[in-house]
Amino acid sequence: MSTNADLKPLRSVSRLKQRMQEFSLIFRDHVLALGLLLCVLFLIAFIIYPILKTAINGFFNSEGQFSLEYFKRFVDPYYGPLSRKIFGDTLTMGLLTAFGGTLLGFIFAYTIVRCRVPGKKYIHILALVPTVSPPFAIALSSILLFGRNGLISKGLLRMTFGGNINDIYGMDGLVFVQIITFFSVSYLILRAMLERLDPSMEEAARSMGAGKIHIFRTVTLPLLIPGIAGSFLLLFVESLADLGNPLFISGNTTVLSAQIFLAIAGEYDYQKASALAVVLLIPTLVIFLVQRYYVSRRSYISVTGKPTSGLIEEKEGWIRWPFIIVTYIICILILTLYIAIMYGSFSKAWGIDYSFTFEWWKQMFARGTESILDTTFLSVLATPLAVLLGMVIAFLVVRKNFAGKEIVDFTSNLGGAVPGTILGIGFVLAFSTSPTILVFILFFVMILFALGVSLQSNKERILAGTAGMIIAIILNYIEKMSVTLLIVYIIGVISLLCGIAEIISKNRKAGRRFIILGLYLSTYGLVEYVVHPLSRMISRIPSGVFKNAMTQIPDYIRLFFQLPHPILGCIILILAVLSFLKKKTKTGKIILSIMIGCSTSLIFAGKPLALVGTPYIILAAYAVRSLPASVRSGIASLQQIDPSIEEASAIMGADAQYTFRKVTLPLIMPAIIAGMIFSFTRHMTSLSAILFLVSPKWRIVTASILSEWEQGGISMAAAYSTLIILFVLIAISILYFVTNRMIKRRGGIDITWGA
Amino acid sequence: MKRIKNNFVLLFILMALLSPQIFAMGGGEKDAETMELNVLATPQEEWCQGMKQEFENMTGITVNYVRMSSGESLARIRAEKDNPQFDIWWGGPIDSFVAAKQEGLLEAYDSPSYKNLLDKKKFKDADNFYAGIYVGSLGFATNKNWLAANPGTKAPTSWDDLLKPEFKGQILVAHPSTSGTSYTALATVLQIRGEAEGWKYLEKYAGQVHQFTKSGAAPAKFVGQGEAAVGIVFSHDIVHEIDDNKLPLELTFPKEGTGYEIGGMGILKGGKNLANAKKWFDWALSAEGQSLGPKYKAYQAPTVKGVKLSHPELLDVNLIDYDFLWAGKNKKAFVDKFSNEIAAAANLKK
Repeated sequence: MSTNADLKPLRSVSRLKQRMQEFSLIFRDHVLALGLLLCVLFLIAFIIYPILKTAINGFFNSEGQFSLEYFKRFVDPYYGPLSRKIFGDTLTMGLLTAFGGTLLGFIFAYTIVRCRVPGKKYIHILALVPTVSPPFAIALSSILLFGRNGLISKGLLRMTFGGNINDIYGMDGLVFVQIITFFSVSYLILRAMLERLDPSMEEAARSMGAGKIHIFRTVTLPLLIPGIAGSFLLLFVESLADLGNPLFISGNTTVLSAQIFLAIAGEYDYQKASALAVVLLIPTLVIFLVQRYYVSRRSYISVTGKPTSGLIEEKEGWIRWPFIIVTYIICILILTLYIAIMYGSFSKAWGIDYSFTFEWWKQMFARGTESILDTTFLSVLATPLAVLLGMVIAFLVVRKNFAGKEIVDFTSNLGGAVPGTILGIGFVLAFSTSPTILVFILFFVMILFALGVSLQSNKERILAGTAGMIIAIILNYIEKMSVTLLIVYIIGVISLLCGIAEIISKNRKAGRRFIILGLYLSTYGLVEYVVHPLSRMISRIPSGVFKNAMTQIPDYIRLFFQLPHPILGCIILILAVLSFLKKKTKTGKIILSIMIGCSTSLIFAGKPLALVGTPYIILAAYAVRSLPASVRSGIASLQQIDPSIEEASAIMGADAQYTFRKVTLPLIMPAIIAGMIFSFTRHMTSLSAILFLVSPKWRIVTASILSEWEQGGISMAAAYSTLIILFVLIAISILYFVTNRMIKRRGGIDITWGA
Repeated sequence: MKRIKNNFVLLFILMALLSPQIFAMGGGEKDAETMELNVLATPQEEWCQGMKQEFENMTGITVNYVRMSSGESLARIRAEKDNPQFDIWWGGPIDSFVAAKQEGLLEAYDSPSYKNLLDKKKFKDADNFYAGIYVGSLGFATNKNWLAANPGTKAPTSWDDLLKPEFKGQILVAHPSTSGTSYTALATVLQIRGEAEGWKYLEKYAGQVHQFTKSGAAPAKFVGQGEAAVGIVFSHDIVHEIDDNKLPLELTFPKEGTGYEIGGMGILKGGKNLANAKKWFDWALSAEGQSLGPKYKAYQAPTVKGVKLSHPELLDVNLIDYDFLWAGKNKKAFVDKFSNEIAAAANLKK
C-alpha cells in the first residue's frame, strides 16, 4: 500500500547487505583481514578499554559503590570555590596558550612564506626544535634564565624577588612556557595553508584597488580561518593535556593535570584522579571532535592541493620588517633557552657559581644509565610497532570501505590526544591484574577468525573447535598442576611434531614454519640457560657505570624470547591459519585444530595480560601515544597516491600483498620515515602516560628527570634533558641519512605530515 | 544471514566449552631462587645508589631501585597490592610504614639484626613489620644571600616566624601528600598546637608558601639556589647542601620544639625475592650497613649501636615527643584535609 513504508526497511536491509559485502570483500584477503582485526584489537585493548576504565572509575568509590562525590565538589559550597578555581585556571591556561601560540605560529608562518626572510631554513628548524625536546625542557630553561635566581632576571637585570613581586612561577610563566612549547604545531598548520592559498583572489582584490590591510582583513584572513581555528583548538587541547610544564613552573597555581597527578602520586585516590580526569576529558573531547569533524573538514581541500603557481610576497617594508623582527626575536629566545639548558648542565651551581664542570654529567651517568638505556631501547623497539600499526590503519582508512572505519580512524587519534595521565591511570587500573573481559575478547576474535576463515562448512568448524577446546582443557589442566613455563615447552614440542607431520605429508613450507615456531617456543625456557650465567657474570663486574649499563642486558634478551602468553597464542594461531590457507590438506586440518587448542590454552595460561611491571605495557603506551603521528602521515601520503597505480598492478595479475610490497610501500616510504621520526621522538619525550608505569626493572628517563629535578637539582635535570635532545637529534639525522640514501629521487620528507 | 546465525551457534558452543578455561586463569607463577632485589627507596639518590653498589659488591645480588618520595611510594605500594613489583621499601618517615602495616601491605620479619638496635621499643614495630634505620630532625634552611639583600630580616627561629610578612611567597616546602618530610612538619605543628589551633596555623602557613615541591629534600636545594628564602627540610638534608654543595644556607631550628623522623624499612608482602629482601633488611640494621651513610653524603643519625654520629648537633635541639603511631594512623585523613582545604585555599583569597 504505502510504498514509502515498504521501502524504508528494504533500504536499510540493502545497506546492511552492502556493509556485509564490504566486510566479506576485506575478508577475502586474509592478510588484510588479519591486519584489520589486530589493529582493532590493539585499539580496544590499549585505548578504548583504559580510557573507559578511568572514566567509569571516577563514579565508583573504593568500596565499589556508585558515588558522585568528586563531581559534587564542583557545586559544593565548601569545596566548590577551590574546585571551580582550578577548573577555571586550567581553561584560562588553555585559552591563553591557544591564543598566544596561534598568534606566534601565524607570525612565523607569514614571515617564512611571504616576507622573504633571510635564513628561512634555520628559522624553520628552530621553530620545530620545541617539538623534539622533552616536555619540561622549556620550563626548565625558563627557570634557569628568568627564575628568581635566573641568569637574565637576576644576573643581568638585577631583579630581586620579595613579597608579592611577580615572578616566572605561576600562571603567566606557565602560559609563556606553554606557548613556546606548543606554537610549532600552529606554525606548521598555518604555513601549509599559506603556501597553498590561491594567490589569485588576493591579486584580484589588489587589482581592484583594495588596500593592504583591507585585503588582509577581508580576503586573506577569512581564507585562513579554518587553519587558525584548527590550530587554536589543537593548542588548547595540547596545553590542557600537558603535565610536565605545570609541575615545574606553575607555582601556587594548580591546573587539572597536576591535580590529577597529585591525587595519585600523593593521595592514592584513584577515584578522585579518575573523576578529575573525566572533567578534563570533557573539554578535550569536545574540542577534539569539533576540530576533527568541523574545522578540519572545511580546510581539507586547500591543504592537500599542490602548491599553486607563484606566491605573494610582501614588498612593503612596514609590513615585512615587523614580522621579520618579531620572528628573529623569538628565534633568539628559543636559541637562548636551549643554550641555557646545555650551559646549565655544565655549570657548577646555577645562579651562584657558573664555572664549568662535568660533575652533573658524571652523576647522571652514575645514577641514570639504566633509565637512559631502558628508555632508548624501548623507544626504538616501539617505533616500528607504532609505524606498522599506523600504516595499516592508514591503508585501511584510505583505501578500503567498511563500517566503523571512522571509529577506527578516530580511536587511533584519540590515544594521542587525551591527556596522558588519563591513559596512564587507565593502564594501571586495567592491567595490574588480568583484564578478564579483554582476554575473552581476544580469545573469541582470534578463534572465530581462525575457524571462519580457514574452514568451509559449519560441521568442520564445530569439529575443529571442539577438538581444540578439548586439547586446551587438557593442556591447562597440566599447566595448573605444574609451572607455567612447562606449557610453553609442551606446546613447543607439539608444534615441532606438527611440523614433522606436515613435512611427511609433503607440505614442506608449512612444516618448516612449524618447526621454527616450535624451536622459538622452546627457547622461552631455554633462554634462561643463557641469561642466567650472563647475569652472574655481570654481577661480578665491579660497580660503576659500566655494570649498570650491563645489568639490563639479560632483561633485554628476555623481552624477545619471553613474550606474554596471549601474544604467543595469537602468533601460533595466525601462523597455523596462514599455513593452512596456503595449502589445504587433511593433516593441515588436524594440525589446525591442535593449534587452536594450543593457542587457547596459551591465551588463558597464568595471569593473562597482567602487564604492569613488564616492558610490554610501556611499549604499548608508547605506541598509543605516537600512533596519531604515523596514522596521519600515512593517510596524507596515501591520499596523494592515485589508486589507479595499484589497480594497474592488480589488473596485471599481482595479488594484494605483491602490489602492496612492490607498488604502495615504495611510494609511502617517505611517510613511513616521517612517522618513524615522530614516533621515536614522542616515545623518548613522553612523560604523563608513562609516569605510573615505571617499574624497578624498567625505568624511564623522563620520570628520572622529574625526580632528579628535586634530588640532584636543576643542573642534573638539564643534563638529562640535553641528553634526550641529543639522542632525538641523532635519531633524526640517521633517519634522514637513510632516507636520502634510499630514496634519492623523492626529495625531502615533508615533516609536517606527522604534526 | 545464514552465516551469522551459524556463527552464533558456533559462539554458543565455544562458550559452553569455555567454562573450564576460567578455572585455569587463577594459576600463579612459582619462582625459583633469584639473583635480584627490587628496592623502593625514599632517601636521597646518592645514598640509594651507594647502598645499591655496596650491597651488590657484598652479595652479588643485582639491585634494581626506584627512588620515590614517601607519599608516592605508599601510593605505589597500594596500587600494586595485587601484583607487587618491589621486594623491600627502604627509607622515609615511619608514619607511612604505620599506615602500610595497617593496610596489610607489609610482611613481618623477625630479623636477627634487631639486637643491634639502640632502642628496641622506639626503633622497631612491636609486631616486626618495620624497623627504624635512621633518625633526623626537622629544621629551617634560610638563604644567606637573601638575608643580606633584605636587611632587617632574620632566619626564622620559631614556627610563628614563618608567618612574618617578609616571608610571604618565600617559603618552600614539599606537599605533605607526596613527601614524608612535609607530613612530619604538618604533624609536628598539630602536636605542638593541638588540632584546632594547628589547622588555623597551617592555613596561614600555606598562604606563605611559594610552591609545593614533590620531594621533601628539594626545598633545601631550591632555597640554596635562590628560588625562595626559607625551606622547611630535614636538617641532615640542609647540612648536605651546605657541606657538599656549598650552598649559602643557614640552618635554624624552631625554639618551641621541632619534629623528627625515624626512617623506616619494611619488607613488602608478595615480593618475588623474599630471601634477598631479608638479606638487605639484616644488612641495613647492621653497623656496617649504617656507617655507609656519611660516605654517600647522608647525615642522618643511625639507629644501631657501634656507629659514630656524623653530626650530633642535629639531634641536640628541642625535640618534641613525636607520636609516630598517631601520625601514621591519621595520615590519610590529615593529608586529605590539607590537600582539599588548605593547600590551594590561600590562592583563592588573592
